[in-house]
Amino acid sequence: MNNELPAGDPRSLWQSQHCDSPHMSIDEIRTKAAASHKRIKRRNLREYVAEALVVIMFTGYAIVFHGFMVRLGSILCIPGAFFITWFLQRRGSASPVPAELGLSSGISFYRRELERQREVLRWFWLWNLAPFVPGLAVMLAGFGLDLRYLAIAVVLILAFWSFLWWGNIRAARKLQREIDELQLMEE
Amino acid sequence: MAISAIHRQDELYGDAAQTYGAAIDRLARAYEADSDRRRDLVQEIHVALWRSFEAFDGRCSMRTWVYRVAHNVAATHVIRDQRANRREWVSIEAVESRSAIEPAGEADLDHRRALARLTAMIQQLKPLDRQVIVPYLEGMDAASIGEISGISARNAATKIHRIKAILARRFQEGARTDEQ
Repeated sequence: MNNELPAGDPRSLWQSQHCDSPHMSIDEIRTKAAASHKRIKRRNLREYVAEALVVIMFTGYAIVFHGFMVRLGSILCIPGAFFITWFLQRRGSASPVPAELGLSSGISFYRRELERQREVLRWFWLWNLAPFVPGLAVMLAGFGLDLRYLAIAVVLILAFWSFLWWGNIRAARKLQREIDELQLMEE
Repeated sequence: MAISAIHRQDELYGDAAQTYGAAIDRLARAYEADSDRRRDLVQEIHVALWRSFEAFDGRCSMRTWVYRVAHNVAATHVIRDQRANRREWVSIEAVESRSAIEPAGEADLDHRRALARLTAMIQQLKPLDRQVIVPYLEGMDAASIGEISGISARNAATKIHRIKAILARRFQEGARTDEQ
């Protein structure tokens, strides 16, 4: 059988690959760059629409439900929704500035990306759980549930959030190990 | 932006695309197996490269700049992909131990398949290890690889040593299978 493999020379093998991507003109590049900008705008718009829906939902609760406490709880959830959108836009999305791509070495760029993700996971309780706690607590109190049912509801909510929090902390620790390895390599 | 600056940006990009277009294409293969998504990644790299030249001030060489931009865009691409698909990557060291239990097999007997296997091995690696192996395969030395990836020269040399050992063993396995 014919062996076309240039034994002992993986570099030649790698460099022998033909280029199959079509060449892009400057005009095409500009069009793509504009499209990418529009995509980011659309993504932001989607996030605003989602936030608006949450606000409408809790405003609806405040109108439909009876009782001062339930209504107050619903209204208290609205700033929570605003906070979550703000946090995710500030920390959650990766949109490096163009110059950063060329000025940062691979390891520092990658480490910063992992650190950003770690922060999102580590502060999960703050951006995902805490903003709704006051509103939901007031709402639950306002429903006037039997103490036993109230306790069950609280335990179920806490168990669900604890599970999510634990999963995020585990993922954050895994990222931290990788960040530590990267820091050692930079030294 | 002033017209001369735009002209300079276009000119720099044109030179870079001309000189490193094929290398960017190969680099994308190290990061994306799917051909359609790879084409998108190549385009994404070219757009980022063009935009980045707005800030290119000659602090590093054109080659280092191009590879940094390309690797950083590709790393962002695979991190995004990993988040969506929960993929696990391995380090160069782990690949070294895995290779001992993988049979060479018929797949290594021809050039195309050997290339496919080499590419598949690279695609398993952590992004940073890909930033070492790809420039190595493009013919760069440890100092240049250190400049692009940001790892110390000592670490770059150690990683290159491991990469060479893994590749030499795999290629010998391929050649031995051919002789049988």
